[in-house]
Amino acid sequence: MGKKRAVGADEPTTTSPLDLKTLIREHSLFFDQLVELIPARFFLPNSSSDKPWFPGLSKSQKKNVKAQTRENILKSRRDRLDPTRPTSTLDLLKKSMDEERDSSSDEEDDEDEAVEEEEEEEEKEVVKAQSMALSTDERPVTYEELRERLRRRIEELSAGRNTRPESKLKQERKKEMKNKKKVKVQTKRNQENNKEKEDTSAGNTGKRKRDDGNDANISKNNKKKNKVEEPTDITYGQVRIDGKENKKRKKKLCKEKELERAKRLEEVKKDPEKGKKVSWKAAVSKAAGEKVHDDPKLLKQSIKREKKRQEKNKQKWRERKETVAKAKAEKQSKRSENIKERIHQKKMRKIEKREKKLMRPGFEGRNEA
Amino acid sequence: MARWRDRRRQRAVVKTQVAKNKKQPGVDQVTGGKIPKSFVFARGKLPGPLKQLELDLRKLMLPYTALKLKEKKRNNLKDFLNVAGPMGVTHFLMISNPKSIPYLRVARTPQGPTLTFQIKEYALAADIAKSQPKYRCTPELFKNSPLIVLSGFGGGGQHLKLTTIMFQNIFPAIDINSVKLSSCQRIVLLNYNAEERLIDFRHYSIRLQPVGVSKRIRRIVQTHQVPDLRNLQDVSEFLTKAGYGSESEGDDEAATVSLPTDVDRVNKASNKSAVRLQEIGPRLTLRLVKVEEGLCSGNVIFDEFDTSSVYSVEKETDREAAEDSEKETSEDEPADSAED
Repeated sequence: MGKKRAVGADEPTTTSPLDLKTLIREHSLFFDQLVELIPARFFLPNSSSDKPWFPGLSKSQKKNVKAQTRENILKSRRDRLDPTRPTSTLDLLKKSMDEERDSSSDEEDDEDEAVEEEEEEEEKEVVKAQSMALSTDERPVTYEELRERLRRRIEELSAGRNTRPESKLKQERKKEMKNKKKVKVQTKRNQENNKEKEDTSAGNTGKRKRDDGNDANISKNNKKKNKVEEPTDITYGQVRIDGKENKKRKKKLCKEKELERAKRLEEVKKDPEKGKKVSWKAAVSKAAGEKVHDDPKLLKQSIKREKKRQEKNKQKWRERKETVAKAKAEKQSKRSENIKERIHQKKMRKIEKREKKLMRPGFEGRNEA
Repeated sequence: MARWRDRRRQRAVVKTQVAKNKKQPGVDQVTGGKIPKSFVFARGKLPGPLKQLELDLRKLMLPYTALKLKEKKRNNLKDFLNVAGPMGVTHFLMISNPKSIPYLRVARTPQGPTLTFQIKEYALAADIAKSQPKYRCTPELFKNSPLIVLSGFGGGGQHLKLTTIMFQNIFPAIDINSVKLSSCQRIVLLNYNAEERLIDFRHYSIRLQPVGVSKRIRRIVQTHQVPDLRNLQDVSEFLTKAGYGSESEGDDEAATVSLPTDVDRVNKASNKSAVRLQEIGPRLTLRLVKVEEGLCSGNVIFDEFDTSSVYSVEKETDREAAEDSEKETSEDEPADSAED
C-alpha cells in the first residue's frame, strides 16, 4: 500500500487523472504478480505464532506440543489443497491487512483503504482470470465425465481416419484370386464327379486348407483371435498341444532288412512317377526331422561297423575268459604248492625233532640209531 | 618342416565360439523334443552387403546358433559336418554368390534335403533401422527364438509343402500350456506370392500395448517416473491433455487381443492389448530354385528353371490333378528328371 502511494506520488503531473489511474493499476498488477511469486511464509510477517521452544519442556508437555504440530501440519496441508480458502500470497496479505484494520480502532485513510480494497479485489479477479485458464466454475468434474470426453474424441478422430487402405486393397485382390480359383476347381470337380471318381486333387486339398486355415496337427497361435476371417491360408510354427507325443513308434527293422528295403527303393526311384513320390516323401520326412534310412551305401557302412563292433566284443570276451581261467589256474597251483610245502615241512620238523634227541656230543653225523 | 605340418593341421579346424558359461540344452525341457540348432555361414567370397546379411541372419537365428562362427577359406562342407554332429546342429544356412547372383541354401544336416533360394532382393537390418524414426532393438529380444508364420503356402506343389516343413522345423516348437507370453518377442513372416512365385521374408518385433490407456499414464505405470507438472495448473490437465490416446488408437479390432495371463506391468490378464509389430532385421525376397535330396548333393527333385523336367511347377500341379483323376500314368512327360 505504501508502495502504491509512493508510485502514485512519483508520476509526472502532465498526465490526466484517467491515465494516471490506469498506470497505477498496471503497476499494482505488476507488483501483485511479483508478490504472488513469493511464498507466503517468507513474505508475510510471522506474527501469529511465537517461536516454539521445545528443549526445556517436560515429557508430557513435549508430547502435547508434538501432537499439536502434527495437527498443524495436517491442517495446513488440508488448507493448502482446499479450493475455497485463499492460499496465494496476495490473499493472505489481504487477510492480514483486514485483521490489522479491524484490530486498530480508527485510522485516517479509512476511505482510501476501502477504495483501494475494491480496486484490489477487481485486480485480483483480473489476475486470477488471466492466470488460471480452466478451473474456477466447473469444479467437481467427475472422472467418468473425463473418460467420456476421451472416448468421444477418440471416436471422432478414428472416424476421420482411413485405417490401412493397403490391406483393404490386398484383401480385395486376394478375394478375386480366390474366386477365380474357386471357379477353376468347381469345373474340375464337376468333371471328376461326372467320371465318378474320388476327388483328391491338389486343388481341392488346397481349397480345403484355405477353408480351415490351419493344419491338423498345428493349433492356432494363442495370440491371434480365432474369429477373424483370414483371407489366405496361414500356417504357424510348430506347436505342441498335449504333453505326450506319438505313442506309436515306427517299427524298427533290422539293418539287413533295411538294406534290402533301401535297395528296393533305389530301384523304384529310377522309375519316374513313383520314384518321384518316394523321393518327395523321404525329403519331407527328413526335413521334419525323422530319420529316413534309404541310402544303401550308408546302410552298408553301418552294417559293416556293427559287425566290426560285434567282432571286437567277441574278442574281448574271449580274452576275458582266458585271463580269468589263467588266473584261476595260477591260484590253484600256488595253493596246492603251498599245501605240499607245508606237509613236507611238517614231516621235516618231525624228523628233526626225533633226531635232536640223538645229537649227543661225539655222535654227530650218525644216520642210523 | 614345421610350417608344412602346421598348415596341414590347420586345414581341418573350424573355430566355433558358443557362449562360454552356459551349455545350450540339446533337448527342450518343456516339450521334450530336440531343439534345432543352426549354423549360418558363407560359401566362397562374399561382397560387403552380403557379409552383413549373413551376420543379420545369424542374429535372427539366435539364441540357437553360433553367433561368432569363424570360418577359414579352406573349410569345406565336410568340416562343418564333422563339427555339427557332436554339437547337435541340425540346419545349415549357407549364403553364396556365384556369378554375382546371391543364393541362400537351407539344408538339414545329416543327410537332409537342401533348398536353394535365389535372393532376388534384400535389405539389411541397418538400412531398416535407419529408415524408421523410432527403431527399437534391444539385445533382450534375441534371448528367445522367434515365432514363425507362413502364409500363402497352402496352394499345391510339393515344393511348397517341403518349404513350410523346413522352416517350421528351423525354430523350436512351442508348448502352449507352459509358454510365457513375455518370451514371444519376435516373429518371422513368410509370404508366398503365387503369381510371381516369390517368397517374402520379414522379421518383426512384437510389442503389446494396452488399449484405452493414454500414453502418459502408461508411461508412468511402466517406468515409475514422476512426470513433470511444472507447466500445468492442475492434475486434471495432465490427464486430459494426453492427446486422447496414441495416434494409432483407431486400429481395427483385429489387432487387439485379450491376454490370458499378465505379460508385464501394463498388460494384464483379460485386458485388451494391441499387438504392435515393428520391423527389425533383414528383409528378403526369395525364389525357390532347386531342391536336392542330399546335403548339396544327391538327386535334384525340383528345379524351377528346367522346363523340360517333370518337376517344374506348372506341370506338376496339372500332372497331379490328371494322375489322381484318372489313376493312370500321365501321357505327356519325359521319362527322366534332370540329373546333374
